[in-house]
Amino acid sequence: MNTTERRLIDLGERLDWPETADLTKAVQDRVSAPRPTHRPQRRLSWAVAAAMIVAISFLASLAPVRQAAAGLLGILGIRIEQTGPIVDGLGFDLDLGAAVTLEEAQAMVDFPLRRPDNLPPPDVIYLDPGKAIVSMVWSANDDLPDVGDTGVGLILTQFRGDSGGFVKQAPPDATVIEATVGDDPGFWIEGGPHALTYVDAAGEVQSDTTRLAGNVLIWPHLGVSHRLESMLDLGASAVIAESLSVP
Amino acid sequence: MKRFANPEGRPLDDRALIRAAKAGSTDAYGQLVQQHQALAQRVAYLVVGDASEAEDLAQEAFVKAFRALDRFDESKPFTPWLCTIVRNEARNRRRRFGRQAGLQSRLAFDRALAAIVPTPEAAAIEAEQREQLWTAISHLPPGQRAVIQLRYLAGLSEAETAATLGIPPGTVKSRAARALDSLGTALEAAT
Repeated sequence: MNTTERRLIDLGERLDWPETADLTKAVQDRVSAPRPTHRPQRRLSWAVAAAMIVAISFLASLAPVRQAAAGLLGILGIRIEQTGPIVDGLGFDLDLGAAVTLEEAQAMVDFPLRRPDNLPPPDVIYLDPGKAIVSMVWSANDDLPDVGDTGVGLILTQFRGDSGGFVKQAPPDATVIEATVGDDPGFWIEGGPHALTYVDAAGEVQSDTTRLAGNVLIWPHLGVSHRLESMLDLGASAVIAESLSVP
Repeated sequence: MKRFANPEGRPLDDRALIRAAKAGSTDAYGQLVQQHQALAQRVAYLVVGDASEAEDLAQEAFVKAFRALDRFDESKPFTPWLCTIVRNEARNRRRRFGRQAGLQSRLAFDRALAAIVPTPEAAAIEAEQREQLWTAISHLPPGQRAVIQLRYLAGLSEAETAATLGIPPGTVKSRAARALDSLGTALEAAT
């Protein structure tokens, strides 16, 4: 054990951790109580649901009402509950939202989610409920090199919005070139994390940052912005990008 | 609460308690909660940095874990499974509260650091070194930071850390090695 390890253990032992609360009775009471029966889910038309998502996205972008907006999501009759370790930790620290199933993610966005045909299904799917952004995450493997120390090989993000001309605050040493995916014009950014802005479905300007210090291909398709982050080069990224289809 | 014990009077291990809980015993589950609640609250605290938030999160995680017990693989240890649920809960909560939680986390750790009472002769140096170490941890890449927090601050084993984060033990080892290098360099630069 080296000095740094000893100092870390010392730090852990000497931190003033909060006193452990005895949760036994509270947990027992809750698991003993009959679970509330689920109300029949309200069926909303896609138009209404989309409008609500847009409204919620806008509200959620305002910090003071962020918590209230999160509560509003229940109105849609969609309850996202993680009842087990459905997340294996992959991408957990990348600030992508809550882990959901593809069906749950699809129910929360007003556009068809697409997946690459030339990759297996994603290992984890995250939904940022505030901005209605869906991120599909694949773990690193021989074909998808680990990006930094994240264990992530590739992230595909999809969100409603006009991302034309959105690249902003790219680091000075980053390479930003125009690229095409099929017939869609996009950008290829190589050389570091960057921030971007885009106009969401409500016409609001949103900002976001890339999650990995890898290479990024960004392109819009039928009003949906796509962002593919990985360590792959432009050619390999474009092959994946062009294989997207609705599963 | 009924206490579950083996014929020699020793408390039942996790696996036996889980089996009893699956069969409907809330007493067995209560015993499991008692055995793991300190760790659960610490792991939550590492993410959200607020004691009462951590308590709520741990409680919620235990309830969700109970409801998911049927899906728990009894051939695997309970601790990492629980820690994963706690971190998911904490992570989602932090997401909902946004940057404020990060700030609270930082302030909570500042308070926690300030509360450490070192030996008088080394007080100033030790306090400064711990602050430097904490700052250096906060600047690590997320994957490395999670390993350091779970492995060294929460005290999980290498295998438990790997299972909690869903990564191979070799990755825990390599991330820890890189993190230790970075922390060592940062501390050297600070002195």
